[in-house]
Amino acid sequence: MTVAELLAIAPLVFVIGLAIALVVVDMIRPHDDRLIGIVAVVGLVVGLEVVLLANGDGTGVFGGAYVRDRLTFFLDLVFLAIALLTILFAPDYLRPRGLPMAEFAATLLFAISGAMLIGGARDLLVLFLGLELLVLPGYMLAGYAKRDGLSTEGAIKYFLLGSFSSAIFLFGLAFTWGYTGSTRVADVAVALQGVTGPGLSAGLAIGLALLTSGVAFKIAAVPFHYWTPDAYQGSPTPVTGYLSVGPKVAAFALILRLFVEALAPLKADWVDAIVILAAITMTLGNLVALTQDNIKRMLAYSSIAHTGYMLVGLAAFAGAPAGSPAAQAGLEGLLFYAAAYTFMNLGAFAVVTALQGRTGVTSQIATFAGLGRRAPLAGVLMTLFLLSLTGIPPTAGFFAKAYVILAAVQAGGWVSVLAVVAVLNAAAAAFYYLRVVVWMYMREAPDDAQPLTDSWPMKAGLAAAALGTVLFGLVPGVIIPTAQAAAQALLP
Amino acid sequence: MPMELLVTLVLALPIAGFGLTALVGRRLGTRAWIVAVPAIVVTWAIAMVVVWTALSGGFGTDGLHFTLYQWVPAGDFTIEANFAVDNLTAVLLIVVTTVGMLVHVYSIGYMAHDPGRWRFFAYLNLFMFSMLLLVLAGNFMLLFAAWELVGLCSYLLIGFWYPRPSAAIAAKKAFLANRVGDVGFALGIFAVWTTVGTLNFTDAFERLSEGLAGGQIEAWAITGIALLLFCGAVGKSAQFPLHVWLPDAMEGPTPVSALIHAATMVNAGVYFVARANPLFSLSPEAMFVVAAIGIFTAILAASIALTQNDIKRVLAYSTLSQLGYMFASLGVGAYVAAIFHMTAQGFTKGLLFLGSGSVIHGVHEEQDMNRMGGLWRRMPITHATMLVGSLSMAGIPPLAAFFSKDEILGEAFKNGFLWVWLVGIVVAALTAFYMFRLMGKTFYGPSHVDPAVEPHVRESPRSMTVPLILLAIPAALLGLVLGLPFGAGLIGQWLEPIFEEAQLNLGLHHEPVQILGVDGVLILVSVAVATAGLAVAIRLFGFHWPLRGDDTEAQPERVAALTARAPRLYRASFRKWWFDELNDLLFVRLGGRVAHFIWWFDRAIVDGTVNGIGDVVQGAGRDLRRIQTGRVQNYALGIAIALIVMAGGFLIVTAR
Repeated sequence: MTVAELLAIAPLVFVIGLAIALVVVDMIRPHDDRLIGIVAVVGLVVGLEVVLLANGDGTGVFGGAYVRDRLTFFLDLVFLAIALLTILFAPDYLRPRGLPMAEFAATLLFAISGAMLIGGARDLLVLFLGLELLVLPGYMLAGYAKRDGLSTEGAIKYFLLGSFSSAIFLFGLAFTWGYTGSTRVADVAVALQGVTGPGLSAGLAIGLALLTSGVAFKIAAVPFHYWTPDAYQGSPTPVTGYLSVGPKVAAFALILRLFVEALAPLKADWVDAIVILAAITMTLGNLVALTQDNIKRMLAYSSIAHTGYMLVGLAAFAGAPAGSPAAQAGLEGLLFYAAAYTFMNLGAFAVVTALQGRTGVTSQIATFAGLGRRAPLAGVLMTLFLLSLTGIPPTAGFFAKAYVILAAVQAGGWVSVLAVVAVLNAAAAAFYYLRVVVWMYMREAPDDAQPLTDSWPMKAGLAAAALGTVLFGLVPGVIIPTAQAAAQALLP
Repeated sequence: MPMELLVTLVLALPIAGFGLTALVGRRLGTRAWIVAVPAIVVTWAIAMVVVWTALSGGFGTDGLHFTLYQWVPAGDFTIEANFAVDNLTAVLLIVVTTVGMLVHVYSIGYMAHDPGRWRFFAYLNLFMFSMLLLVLAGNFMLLFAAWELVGLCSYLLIGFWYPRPSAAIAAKKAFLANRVGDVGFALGIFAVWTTVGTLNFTDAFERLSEGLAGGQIEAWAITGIALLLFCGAVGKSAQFPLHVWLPDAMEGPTPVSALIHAATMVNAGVYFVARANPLFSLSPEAMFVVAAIGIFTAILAASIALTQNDIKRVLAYSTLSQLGYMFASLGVGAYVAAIFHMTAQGFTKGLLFLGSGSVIHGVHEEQDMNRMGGLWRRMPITHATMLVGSLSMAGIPPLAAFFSKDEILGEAFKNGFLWVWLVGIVVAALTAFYMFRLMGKTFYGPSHVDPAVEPHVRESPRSMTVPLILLAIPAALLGLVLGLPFGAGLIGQWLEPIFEEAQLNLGLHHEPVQILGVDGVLILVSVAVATAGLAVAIRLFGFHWPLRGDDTEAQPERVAALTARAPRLYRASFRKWWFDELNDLLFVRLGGRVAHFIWWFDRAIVDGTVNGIGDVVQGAGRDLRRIQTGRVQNYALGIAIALIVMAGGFLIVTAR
């Protein structure tokens, strides 16, 4: 291997190494959660440095099965940010419940390494390998509070349905391989040139359906979303935060590598399915979120709705003519959305976690009563994250929505109808997000309200999430060129 | 560069004031205003320099344009933080910063005893920033951001006394009504972007009108865009049918009512339609809708104001009605008159609200006019300034609103909108009547003040009366300064160049005013009806003649007889034409049902179908096991069904 190749896989190797190192540290100094936290955080910061160092010049490794291009670069940064934020706010939840930190951090990092493998995969089998590496630790994390019946139940449901959908997805890959004779992304794309449109062979059509269903499950699109509310509600709160962001962004990375790169020649055939999925996902997610009284369940349905918004970006890519600015804007919007969503959603979960720092605090929305008074800073931050999730300027969420919606409008045709659906949905969503704000500022706190935790990692995590949410909204220029370069890497 | 720097400072100071007050305001205690108020005073001074330069022609006819930084650099989709200052902006800057500054000063006294004052001043600063951003914005995106921000501030300030359920509900109502309008507004902006590919005001309007002339853009598309954008204006300026939020917004502290809900934010819709005049004037249909909605709101609100007993609500409905006038004026192509009326009404209504705040303060937080009366002796300054405001509002020459209202009515008549003129004349009579009903019930006649409070009623502190006096000056003299000579006043010289293109599109041309001809007659008619309305109100509700020194007594028995003669009409007016009940039925009850239905649909039909099929498949006798694992299997079945549907879909699509 050349130096360039070694550098290309360095971030991936580094994260796996860090996960192993955490296990080793735990063996030497058992139950030292503080040390684990420090090693993990310092390690991840170094990891970000390694990603920046490795850059993304398009070096292929393992005979082209893995590539480090601008997209890999962008996604690696997002994945590491997810890991870092989750590890910063997790201890406040785990410690009072006696859940060990070391296994949590190590498992999380293994999952992240899977996500990173997806981000750079240019081979169907590597994609699947990355996917499994991503979701298996996810099942473990969902059942992490193993004495908690709900956690175990959610984990088992997640596991069973996840395996089912993985099988569906793999079946779809097999069909694609069968009809193209290659597992290489580039070769698949070449083989599919010119076979699109009426008369597409039935086998390929079924393959597309299987692949679409498989990824729709992973991103929790309606009607493949059944597992989400149960798994999110049952999991320990930091895990819920991770599950709502990590696997979702990773699954969108999978979509980018598979649908946008390999299956792009067939995009006229799959665009309709994406448009329909996006419309019903947004609408059902938001409408059901309206009636939830459990904050984790509400955020679960809201994350389903956000899947819908991100699909709007994908639909804009697929609906616009190849090579048009709208196609690229759709992808940029999707990537920007993923980054913005990472910060605002994890931020919201961080506040929920801080609230639940004492055992016995439920996830009912009523626990937010009077938060603005009893913990002004947490109240302001939660308001910021919720406003961003609603899409109110000048936050990251506003900009992310505007990006995908404008791309959809530009794409024209059916896709521009999606823009209208998205706008209407955004208006409806304001209601349930602001309901939490009403609880925080317009209701009195109950007398037995528990104080919030405020350890330094929690503060650092909240500060980082808030910074991202504000910065991406106020000066999106800090990230848009990176997203643009990533989108360009995908387009021929 | 210095001018650009000054404009930037106009925006930077209020937001800095907001940041500082929010951070350290709580520790400042009773001196929470120490950052916020000076920040706005300096902003006002700087803004006046900018205004002076603009109005004296320093920026040319096109105004000053500059880009602060590139907000969104995304390929061909770029949005710049660019600002524009022309004469229209300058006129708005005068109103916003002057009223804003006086309200800030007034609030020092008004909020002195409120423990949340630091929050109040922080929000007020944030509002000033948002509103200034709104008038300075040079493109749709920035305008929309500011549009949403003022909405947020309004929400926060209406709900300022949030422990009061009525305040919390009113805040939510205002926010939701605005959101409804904003959906249309957002769609309108998207439509502009897809049609012409730019969001810059100047470029967008230019390309739209070129596109229409060149045949690339259909006329209906222009009408559609204009109407969608107008939805936003309807929400923000509280026009029918989204007018319901404004009266309830009076739950906020009175300075807020004066600043946001009378003088500035509610004018944003009027400003926007005026700003977009090159677009609206391309579509006669859209202009017609604007005029119709405006004049209908004017008469609807005026008819409600006749019977309300809450002093602030009367003023709120009066604001609605005057905003209706402005939209009617925009709709008939009388742009200058609309902005003129907005300026006059901004100062006058600001004055009246602050005056009502002083009254409410004086009688110990009582807002019901049936529990006031005879206050002129106790509160001479408040009385005198409010009298000036009421006379102006009633349209009595030579006060400010007389000139602007008269110009609206005159232009409507001369531009061929006879129906607008006719309704407008009726509204003018009603306006004079309800303003002097308010004066009569509050200041004249016998006192109905709570006997326990009566001995403590006295004039408000200096920080409240000085702003009143300062606002009374423009309310009295603005018309003389800007409106004379008729049809060729200063305001016309300032603004006509901006609306030139619109006038051209509409085929209107400016004719010299014939003071001895048609214009003179129109002026006489409008003054006559205003005087008639005023005279009736004085007969029924009393008055104090300052020069003669004697009083006209109130005649409650004649009022009772009058209302008894038309009980239906009275009830309709008193119950505000049942709009709240209608909305409650339509949105709260029916809407709630729909939301519940959908939730039930997901649970019962979506989950139910899945579960139901599972039931059939599994059969009976295994209930216990089904509780354990059944749902997962049912979920899996649901996924399988969805997969089959999708595969079928793909096969059909690709086989066609």
